Amino acid sequence: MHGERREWEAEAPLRQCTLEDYQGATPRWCPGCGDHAVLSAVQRLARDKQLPPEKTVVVSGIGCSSRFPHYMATYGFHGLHGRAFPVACGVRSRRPDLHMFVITGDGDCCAIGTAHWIHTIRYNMDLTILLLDNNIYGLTKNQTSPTTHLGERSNTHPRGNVLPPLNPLSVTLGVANASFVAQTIDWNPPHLYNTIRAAYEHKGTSFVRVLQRCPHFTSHIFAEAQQDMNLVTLLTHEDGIPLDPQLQRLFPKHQMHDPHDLAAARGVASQEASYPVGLLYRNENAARYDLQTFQGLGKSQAEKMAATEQWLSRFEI
Amino acid sequence: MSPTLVDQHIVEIVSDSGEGAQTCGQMFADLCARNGNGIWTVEIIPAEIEPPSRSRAGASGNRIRVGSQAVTNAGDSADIVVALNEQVLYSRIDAGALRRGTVVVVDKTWADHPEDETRRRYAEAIADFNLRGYFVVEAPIESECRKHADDPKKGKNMWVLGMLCAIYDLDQSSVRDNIAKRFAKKGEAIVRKNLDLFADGYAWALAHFQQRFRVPAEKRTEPTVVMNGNQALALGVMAAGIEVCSMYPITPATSASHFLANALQEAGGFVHQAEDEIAAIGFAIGASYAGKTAVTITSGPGLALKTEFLGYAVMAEVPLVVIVVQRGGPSTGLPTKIEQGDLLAALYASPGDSPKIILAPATIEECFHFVITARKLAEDFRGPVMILSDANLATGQQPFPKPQLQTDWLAAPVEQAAWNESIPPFAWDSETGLSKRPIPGQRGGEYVLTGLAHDEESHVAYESAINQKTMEMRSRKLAVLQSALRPPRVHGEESGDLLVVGWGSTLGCIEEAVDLLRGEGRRVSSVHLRFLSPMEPGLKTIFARFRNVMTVEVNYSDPPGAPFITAESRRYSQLAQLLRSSTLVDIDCWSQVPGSPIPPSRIAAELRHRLDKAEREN
Amino acid sequence: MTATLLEQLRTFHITGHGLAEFAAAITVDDFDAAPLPAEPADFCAGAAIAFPISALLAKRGPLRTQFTEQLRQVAERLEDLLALDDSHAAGAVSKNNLGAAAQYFRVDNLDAVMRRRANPVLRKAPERRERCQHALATLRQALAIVHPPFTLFHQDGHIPDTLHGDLHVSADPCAAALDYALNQLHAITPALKALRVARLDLDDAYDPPVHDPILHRFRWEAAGAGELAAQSPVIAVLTAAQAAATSLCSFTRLLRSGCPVLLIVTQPAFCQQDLACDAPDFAQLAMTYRDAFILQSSLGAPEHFRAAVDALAKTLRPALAVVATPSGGGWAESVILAQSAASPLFTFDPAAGPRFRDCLHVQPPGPNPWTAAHAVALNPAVQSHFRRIPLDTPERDTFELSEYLRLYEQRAPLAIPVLTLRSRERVAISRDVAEYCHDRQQARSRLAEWGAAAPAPEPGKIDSNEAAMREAAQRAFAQAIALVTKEGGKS
Repeated sequence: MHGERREWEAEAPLRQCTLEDYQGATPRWCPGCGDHAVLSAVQRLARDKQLPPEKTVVVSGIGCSSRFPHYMATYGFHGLHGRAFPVACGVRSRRPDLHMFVITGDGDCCAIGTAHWIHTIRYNMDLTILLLDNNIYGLTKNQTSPTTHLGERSNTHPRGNVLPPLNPLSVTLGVANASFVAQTIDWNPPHLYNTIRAAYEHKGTSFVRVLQRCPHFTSHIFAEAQQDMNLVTLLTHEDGIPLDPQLQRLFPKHQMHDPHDLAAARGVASQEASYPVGLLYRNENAARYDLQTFQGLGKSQAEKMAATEQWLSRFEI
Repeated sequence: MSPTLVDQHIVEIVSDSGEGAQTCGQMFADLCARNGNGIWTVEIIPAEIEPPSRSRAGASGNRIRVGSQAVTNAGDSADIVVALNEQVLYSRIDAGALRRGTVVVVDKTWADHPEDETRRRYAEAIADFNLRGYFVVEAPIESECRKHADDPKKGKNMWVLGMLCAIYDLDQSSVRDNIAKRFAKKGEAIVRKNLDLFADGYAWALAHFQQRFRVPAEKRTEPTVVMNGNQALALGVMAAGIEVCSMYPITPATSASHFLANALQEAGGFVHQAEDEIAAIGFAIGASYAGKTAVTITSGPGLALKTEFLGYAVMAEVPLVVIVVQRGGPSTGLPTKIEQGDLLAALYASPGDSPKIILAPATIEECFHFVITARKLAEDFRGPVMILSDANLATGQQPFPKPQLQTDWLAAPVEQAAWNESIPPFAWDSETGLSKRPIPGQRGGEYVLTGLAHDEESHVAYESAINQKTMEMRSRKLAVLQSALRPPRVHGEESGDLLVVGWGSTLGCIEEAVDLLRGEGRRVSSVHLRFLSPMEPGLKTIFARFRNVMTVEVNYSDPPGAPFITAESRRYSQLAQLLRSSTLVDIDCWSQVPGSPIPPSRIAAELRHRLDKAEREN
Repeated sequence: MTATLLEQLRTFHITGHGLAEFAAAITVDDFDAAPLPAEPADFCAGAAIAFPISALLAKRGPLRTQFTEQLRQVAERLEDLLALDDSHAAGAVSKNNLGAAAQYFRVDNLDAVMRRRANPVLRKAPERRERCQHALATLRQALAIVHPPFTLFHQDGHIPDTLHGDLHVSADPCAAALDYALNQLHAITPALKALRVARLDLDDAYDPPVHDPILHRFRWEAAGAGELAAQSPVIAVLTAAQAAATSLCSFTRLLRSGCPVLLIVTQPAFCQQDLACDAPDFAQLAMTYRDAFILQSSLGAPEHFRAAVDALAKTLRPALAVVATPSGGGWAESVILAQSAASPLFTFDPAAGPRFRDCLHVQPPGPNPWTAAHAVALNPAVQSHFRRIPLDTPERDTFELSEYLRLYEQRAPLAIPVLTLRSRERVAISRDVAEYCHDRQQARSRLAEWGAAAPAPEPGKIDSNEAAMREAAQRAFAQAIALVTKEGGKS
């Protein structure tokens, strides 16, 4: 009555997807690899939000991280090294109805894919980007990555890395039109889940850097932070990543940070004493390129032909 | 006196940048086209964006070839060249565009220029032109124009247009209408000024120009359009119902995207300017994967960057249309010049075996229609289809029958019905290798696209049997397409002494050269390929009917007599290499890379030389 | 003399007769108050009807266009779908869909090869085609109908010319409007169904076992808000007198129908017969139906009227607009009546919240201490109820009307209520008018209480100032009564 009763939709039988419906092939990551936690979190999120698997697309590049799509029973695009972002933008450009996740790694995103990284942040199309940062090239067996710490040894730098690492958070926060930048850790599943969920819910490009353990090549890197939680600072704020008060107590260090404050976010990103974990920046009003690209969807054949005819006629003699 | 009837004439108008020679040329071409003449226009582009005035490198303008019948190429030497200063005329001389007897109309204002140096150079040039055998006419263009406009730079082109109208005995009224329409936005006063300039030029020519010509023509009965190749490609994109065009700026391809940037939105699509060439093709592949086939437009250097993604599209069988408007290479080469040097790169540049469909339109009309075919083939054969155009087609203008748009040409609505789960995402037909693809949104069709070797289910598979089979399937598709193509048409007799094979924009000049020689009684024919991968069938059979076969192309090949060039070390031109390897016929080649279209007479000379040589050897 | 005058005044007050020589016209300038806002150009009875209708059209017009556009787009896409299906019947590959380059192909070979693919291009099942065709036909039919901008039912034809719509005269406009509106909704239901079928079929998501029963049960009540709002507005117009005579049954049916119909009731701001306050209060009556949107406003309160009409235009519920139109005293009378809240201005929006007081919004009275009497004093028809008193009449037996009304609760005093003019003259008022003012005040405060616009004053909680005044007044009463009794007793 009065246009408020959703009789039609309410009566359509609901389809209930279980966790199994999102589970694809058995993951081949090493035991203890942080990627497992991310996969579980994303599958849980899909189940909690009841995302139809046929409407969900996971796009990745190349790397350990980028095996991700094969382990989800949704549509996937396992693409080229460094090139997940332009593909994801193309997929989104005419499909407002799809739920999209983009999985990338520190080499994939911050080395070969840098150009696309910068511009995809700026396009701010509705994407959820998870950068699985284990500070190393894992799949190709132990080469230095742009985020590898100073002094770390690898196959390409046996005497130790001589350059300070790139800070993906600072770089992303330096790009115009950035709209959502967060960092989380794979060894705290509730925080990981809440961050990914907030990223999914944000309309725009959500960039989440996941500090991801690699037991095979960089087991020492995050082991310290895992044991001594003082090396991690939990960002708190009512507009930030929500976390149960009981779970907040697992983090001895807290910092109140307003995610709308870009300058403060940049400060948080660049501080080196500990890993900031939580939402660094959020801007709901950033321009969205996909809202532009969606225009004209659904034009009928007649309308298209009329437009083409009109342009063609300008050349008539 | 009554005008001389000619079958075709070539007119060039050159000036410094910004003097409107191109507008004059376009309007003249338009007028002739309206008259029913065939035309072929070529832009004369200066090397720099703002070159100095009165310099050889700064020539800007048009060459218009007007014919009684359809005109298919830019022709040989010009019959009339109008130069607003004598220095730009030299650029045309350097390009070999003139011959003894060419009428040269020069603005004689420079004869009375206040600067000594200018007057001296002018006098020198005029003397030189006479020595070269040109018929020099010094016209008071600037002084006449000053009667109407303070800044004669803006009026000379209209005056010249009037002059040409008179020389070619063309109907004034439609030009006057055209002028009125073109300058309507600038107001009554400007329109009147231009009309006056036009009238003056016309009157001057009637009074002072001794020759008059007419290129007879029959008024067209069917609707006709005139446009350049890039515009035709762009309109083809729209007519094919393509909604996503992804590009990065690169000469000479960009004007097609500019057109689409204006027009495609009205047809429900959009142009994406990506951050680089790789992003452009990545974006297009993403869009294709998620729905309707997309297009990406580039040139040679861009193609080089796109090769990894092209290989991905072949491996993952994603439909895509890739338009390459070739330019002078190698490397940055000659961005605005003509060459067809990317054929082998298009075929082979991706890692491993990447069979893909390649089409090459030979005329501007084909630029339009081939996009429609390309989209359909991309979807049916599930992979990338490349269209190789070049700078000649991109900027040349030619009339052709106005296409009658059809709904059948448009891409179908995106299929979202549930996918039959018993059918895998790569259900290769055992004989044809063809399969249908699920599109995200189709329930039951979920699969992960990958560039890794994969099986039918798109699961990563490293087994050798699977790798062998899947490569076979992807290759098979090309054979299947070939089985559905017709053998090419032979221009000329079905058998003879010499067969010339070409591809791309050389169609017109090759056929004109062949016709020239046939007129001389020589037994020469030509064949022009539209499909380069797979190639049209029946070539070996056709070749067998000719004593000798050669290709004529605009890309590099070693000339046979040069030092160190032996039968073993000689590098052949690109189509010749392909034909030799696929037919095992000892096909020769002749190619030039001048950056400009090869004149028919040059080809004819070479063909004569070959025929004579062959006769001597027999 | 004074006593006699007082007696005469008292007599006048109670009976309304006598002291005819003191009767005099009163104009608004006689009152000591801030000047009233200027009279708007469109202050006429017609505005009460024209204004809500044009607001409705302004709001619904774009929605109508949108809805029609939606129908058209969906119809075109259905046509495309059917055409695509036709082309699939003809062949996977044909001379047509290859483009002009078809000359290079052996088209039949290619077609044969294409058909070999697994999951080849299939034609749609016949019953799906039929369903699409039927939906398409229904949509095209709906698009072909031309709707009037609005349809209006009334009894006697005083409808402003500026409105362009379908006007119908009817003996019972409420019933006629409701029937017409329901018919309109039933008529559009097939198109709404077709729209849903089409959308599902375009996505290839129509599943007969699931959707057929839903389709079968579909009624207009399940339509979306945008779709309901897109229908051509239906309006019934009555004057208060006509409304009083109309069947309560059809009045009720209309307001409880659940469909978007508007009933406009116009009543003169002040009706002479209404001094007895027995005319039906339509707006308050309608509130008991809980589900209808109600608006009571006056042309004398243009801002409130405008805002209320805006809110009315947004609702899809059955709505009642009761609007006070000009009467004998003209603009000034209307404004003062509105500002004195003699006829309370309020809106009742059932959708505004869960509690009654969330839904009811009563306009607080204006800053000036007007009473209804000030307004009716300007009306020539009732000037017989007013007498200008000579300046030297003692004050002790006369009470300023506002004070009189405040003290009314305790005991109806025999003192004479007066209005004080700018010239310090006092104007005595008849008891009928005083009762009228009291009744109007009560009505407003009761309404305000319901809406909790201002907290009802709690008994026993009176501040000291107030207490002192009460005490003084009480003493004055007692004195007055003593006097009267004594004097009455004397004579």
